[in-house]
Amino acid sequence: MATKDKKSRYFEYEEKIRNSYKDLKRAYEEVQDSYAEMVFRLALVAEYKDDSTGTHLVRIADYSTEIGRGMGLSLKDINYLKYASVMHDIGKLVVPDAILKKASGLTPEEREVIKKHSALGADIFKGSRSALLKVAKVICLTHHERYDGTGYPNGLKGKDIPLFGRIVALADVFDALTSERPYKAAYGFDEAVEMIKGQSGKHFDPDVVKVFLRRKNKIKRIWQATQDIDSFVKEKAHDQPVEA
Amino acid sequence: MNIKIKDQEGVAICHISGEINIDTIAELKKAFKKIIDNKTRKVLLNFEAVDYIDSAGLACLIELSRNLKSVQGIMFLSGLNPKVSSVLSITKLDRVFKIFDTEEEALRNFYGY
Repeated sequence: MATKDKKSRYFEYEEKIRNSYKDLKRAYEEVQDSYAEMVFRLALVAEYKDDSTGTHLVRIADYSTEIGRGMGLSLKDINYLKYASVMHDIGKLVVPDAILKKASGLTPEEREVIKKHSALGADIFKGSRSALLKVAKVICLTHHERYDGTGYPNGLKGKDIPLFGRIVALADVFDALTSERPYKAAYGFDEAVEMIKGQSGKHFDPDVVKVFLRRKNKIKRIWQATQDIDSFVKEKAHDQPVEA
Repeated sequence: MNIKIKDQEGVAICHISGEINIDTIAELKKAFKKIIDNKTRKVLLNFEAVDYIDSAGLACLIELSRNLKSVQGIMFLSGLNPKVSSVLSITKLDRVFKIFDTEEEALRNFYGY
C-alpha cells in the first residue's frame, strides 16, 4: 500500500513538473514572439520616416534568410537574421527628415549625416543582453561596410565584416536596385542580379554572391511575391475596409 | 508545415501549423486548389499554430483570395500570433484580409455571406 502511495505521488509530481515546464515554455515563447513582433513594428517606424513600404522590410528579411540558409547557418542564426535584418536602418530615426527625404543633390556634409545612421542604429542596441538585439546591433553597424574595405563607418575589410553584415549588405543593395526611388527608376530583376555579380569581391563577399546567384530562382520568387502583395494592397485600397 | 482541412456546414476550416515559407507553400497551394475544385466558397484559415509567414506565403494567401473572389467566395483568417500579425500589418494586408481573434468568432461572421 505504501509503495502504491509513493508511486501515485511520484506520478502526481511528475505531472506537475511536466505542466510547469509547459507553462514556462509557453511563457518563454510568448516573450520571444513579442520581441520579434516589436522588432518588426519598430523597424516599420524607420520605414515610414524614409517613405519606404513595409514590403521592403519583408524582402530584406526573406532575402537575408534565403542567403543565410544557403550559407549553411544554423536554424537559430537564421531566425536571428530573419528578425534582426529588418532593423538594419533603424538609425535613420535620428537622421533629420530634411536630409533623408531630399530627392537628390545631397551635399557632402549631408551625406556624412546619413552615413551616421549605421553607428546610431548600433547605439540603440548597445548593452542589450538579448541575443537577437545583439545581432541587430551587428547588422546596423556593419551593413554598409564593403568587402574591399571602402565602406563605412569603420572601413572593415573582407571577413573582418561579420557574416550577418555581409549578408544584409547584399540584400539591402539588391532591394534598393530593384526598387523605385524619387531619384531613380527600379532596375529589372536580371539587370540588378548582374550588377550584384559585378560587385563580387568589391562591394560584396564573393561567397555571399555565389550563394545569392545559386539561389537566384528563389530570390526571384520572393521579389515577385512582394510585387504581388503591393499590387494587391493597391488594388484593394478603394474597397471599404471590413471591421473584424 | 502541415495543413488539416475539415468541412463544417459549407466552410472549409484549414488548421495550418508550422512555418509558411517559400519551401513549404507547395503543399498549401495544392490544398487550396483542392478547396476551389471542390466548389467550397467559404474558407477559414486558422493560424493559431502558424509560427511565421514569409512573402511567398503571403502571395499564396493572395492567390487564394483572388481565386475565391472570382467565384464569389470569401476567405477569413483567425488566431494570428504576434509575429504573423506584425508581418500582415507591415505589408498592410491586415487592412484587406478579414481577420478574427478566434475560429469561433470567424465562423459566426460567415453567416450573412
